[in-house]
Amino acid sequence: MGKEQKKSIIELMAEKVRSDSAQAKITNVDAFKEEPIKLPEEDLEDKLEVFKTEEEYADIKILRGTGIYLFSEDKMTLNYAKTMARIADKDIMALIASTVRDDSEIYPRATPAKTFYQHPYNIDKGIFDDVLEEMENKEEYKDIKGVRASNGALYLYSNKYLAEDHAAYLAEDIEVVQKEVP
Amino acid sequence: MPKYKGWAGKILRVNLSDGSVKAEDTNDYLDYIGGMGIGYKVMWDEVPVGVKPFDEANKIIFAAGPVTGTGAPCTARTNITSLLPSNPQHLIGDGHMGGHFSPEMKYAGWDAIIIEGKAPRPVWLRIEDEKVTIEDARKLWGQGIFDTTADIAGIMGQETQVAAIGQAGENLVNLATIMSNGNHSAGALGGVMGSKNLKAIGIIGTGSVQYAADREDWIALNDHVMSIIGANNQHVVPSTPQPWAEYHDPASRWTAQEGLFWGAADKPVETGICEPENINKVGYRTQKAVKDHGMIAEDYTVRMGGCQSCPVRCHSSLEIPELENYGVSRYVMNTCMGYWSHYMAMRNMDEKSGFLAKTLGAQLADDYGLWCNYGQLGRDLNYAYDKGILKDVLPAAEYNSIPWDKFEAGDPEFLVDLYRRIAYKEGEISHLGDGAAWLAERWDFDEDYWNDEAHHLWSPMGYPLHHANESNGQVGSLINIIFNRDPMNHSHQNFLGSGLPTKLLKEIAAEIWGSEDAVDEPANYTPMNRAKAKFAKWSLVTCALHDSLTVCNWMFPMATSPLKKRNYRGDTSIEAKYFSLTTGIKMSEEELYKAGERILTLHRAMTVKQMGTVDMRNEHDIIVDWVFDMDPDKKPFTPGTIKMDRDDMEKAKTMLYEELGWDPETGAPTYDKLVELGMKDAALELGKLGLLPGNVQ
Repeated sequence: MGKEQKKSIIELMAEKVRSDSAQAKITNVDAFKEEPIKLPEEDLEDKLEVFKTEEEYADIKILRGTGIYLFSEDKMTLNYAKTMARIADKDIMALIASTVRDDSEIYPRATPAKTFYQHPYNIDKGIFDDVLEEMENKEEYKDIKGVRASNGALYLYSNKYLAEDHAAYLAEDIEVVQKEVP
Repeated sequence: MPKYKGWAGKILRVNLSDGSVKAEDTNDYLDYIGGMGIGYKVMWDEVPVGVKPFDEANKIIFAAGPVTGTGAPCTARTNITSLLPSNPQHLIGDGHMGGHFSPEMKYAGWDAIIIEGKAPRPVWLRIEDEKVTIEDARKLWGQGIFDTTADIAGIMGQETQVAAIGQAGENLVNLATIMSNGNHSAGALGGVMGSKNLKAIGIIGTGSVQYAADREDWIALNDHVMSIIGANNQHVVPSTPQPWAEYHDPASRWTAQEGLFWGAADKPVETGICEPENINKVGYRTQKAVKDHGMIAEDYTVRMGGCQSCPVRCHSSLEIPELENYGVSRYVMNTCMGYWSHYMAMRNMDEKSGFLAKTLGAQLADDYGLWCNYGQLGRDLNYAYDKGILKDVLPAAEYNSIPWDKFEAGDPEFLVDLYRRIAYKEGEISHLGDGAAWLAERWDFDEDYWNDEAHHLWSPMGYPLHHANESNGQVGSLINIIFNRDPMNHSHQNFLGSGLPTKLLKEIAAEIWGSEDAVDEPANYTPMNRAKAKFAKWSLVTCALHDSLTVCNWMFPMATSPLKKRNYRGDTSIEAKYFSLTTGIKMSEEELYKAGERILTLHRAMTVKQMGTVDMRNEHDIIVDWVFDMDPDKKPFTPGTIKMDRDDMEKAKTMLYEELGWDPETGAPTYDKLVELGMKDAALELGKLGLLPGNVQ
């Protein structure tokens, strides 16, 4: 117990982040306000600066969305941490849009709608459908489009990175072609 | 005594006409490595032009390479070579199977088995190390593969490895398989065994395969392979976002994830997170049942299975009590097209009936030994049905006896009736088992059969596309024109389907083939270039090598890896390292590729000899029209289409021929190239036949 008491706040914070990351979770800085760390809000930025500058914490990285999140890159990749941060932000529209844009730009591929019903997104299908409808009327999400494969499966893409025809083929490829030519 | 390690040193030659059994020296074939290479060399030397697949003069060669049986990962493939019954010109070809057959053959002391002649009555071949006998198979004849396998194991012992044919092979159905372990099938050549009255081969081997290397070097290479190995098809990213993974791909066969189980195991087994560094979980990475059937299969999954010495388990073993309603076992095992082809023979199915059709179809076809021609048989049925052709060609009584109501209703029981008719050659409808080219001629299919992309025909020789223009445009297309059946080539497909972003693949492509231009974004193609020709050549040569070494072309070449610390680079030199460590013959990657070129070029030479023309470009390497005419409102090389351009494809052929050292005009091997590859005898023989480009004598 005495040993525990000797740990500094920054050590406890790092321990928490590494432990969370090992369990596939990102750490919201709000967690530091609680026992046993009880970090005063005004000290947060100083502590984050330590993570950025001290060699022994080089594995700990900071992500800023609606909230501020930390993760250990020894336990979790940046891409996964970004996904978890987007989920933690609880902004489903932004989550869908950023995921779809990344897929369209990076791989490139169209994103199966069912992706969002499954882990780690776990969005209820009814809620997903409603959100998607709402997104159609939002200027900031105008680039997010839907396309259906011939078996009816819905795919999303960003027309900033993929033409409609291209997205349509990519959806058909994964839904139908790859099954007929496995 | 074998000259080198790795090879068993002997080839078994069995003449079923006179009952003779001989041991021959493998050393005569070392330039052709093993497997496919031995098969082609035997066919070239011994089977004259004009022989037909079911003639007594045809031969069938079961062969393995030096690496098989060593215990190296993913090395239990068996290559079977003969004349292809389904090919309209009966050209040379291969079937390939995994399982445990070829390692057992090596342990028994044989690198290959050459079967020639024809037995006067049904027989099976019993091999117990050096003791080889031809046994009476009259009690086995008429049985399916499952019972035959069990009966032979009952006679020889449960450790016996069996390669058998079912009723389809016995009845000389062109589309027939040879099957080992009840679910590892080599398509296309079951009828050849049937024509020789050879029901099965049973093997027990009590020896071993020795390697030349120091044990530590051997283990180090195995460890290296295990460090960069991916999931099935060398997919190197998971199918869902996971903490360890920078990338993911919904199409990946690395389906393991939290909450995904082998749900019908005695105690359900969670696949879970399988980090690349944890080699003890490689076998969990591919939950293939959900990949092949969807999530409905999770609760029916007993386990994954696969080949000897392979850590990647790509066959799903399922327990489905409902299958007993159709008179088959509730236990079924298979993978990929072994399931999917039966879905394609049906229509109007929902999730459950589709699942049952795939698994029931697998049980039936695997027992009958019926081959699907990579899914084409089912598409042929649907085409003929939809066009009303069946009503025209089938006698009314036969047509009316077929349960079309079940077909229309998506009732899997339809397959019980259909597959029995084909396997037993019952009635006109059984000609679905002839193969597409023979069938189209017999039933007078219209041009739309060949020219509608929905039917997937690729070649006038009657085989469908198999990772063709949908796989990097010209690269996949070139790979699909060279062989005499669907190419069974995954070298390019594994790379393209690894799951890594195109940008990364382009970087790796530049390192292997000299330019990022070797790889396009999917369905956003660019015109032909030299790097694509090099990519296509590499794919063809490595595939020929794999089928000769014999290693799995679904896992090798490992051009990519799941490791970020390697920047996702794999290692294309592994095969050469295994060859060197196994045999003691030091061979570089480049030198081994030269051996692959030799084998591929011998296949080409044999095809030229059989067809009696050097004009491979116009007589053999033909692609049907839909590939160039699809998507009429789109031009080739625009995003969203895999349409090819005719002139560009001719340019692609020229570049590939050049890369392979074949004549750029005709695509036939040149005298100089054959000599360079150490095949002067073949060059002289082709010269005498007037079958060298430019008619060099």
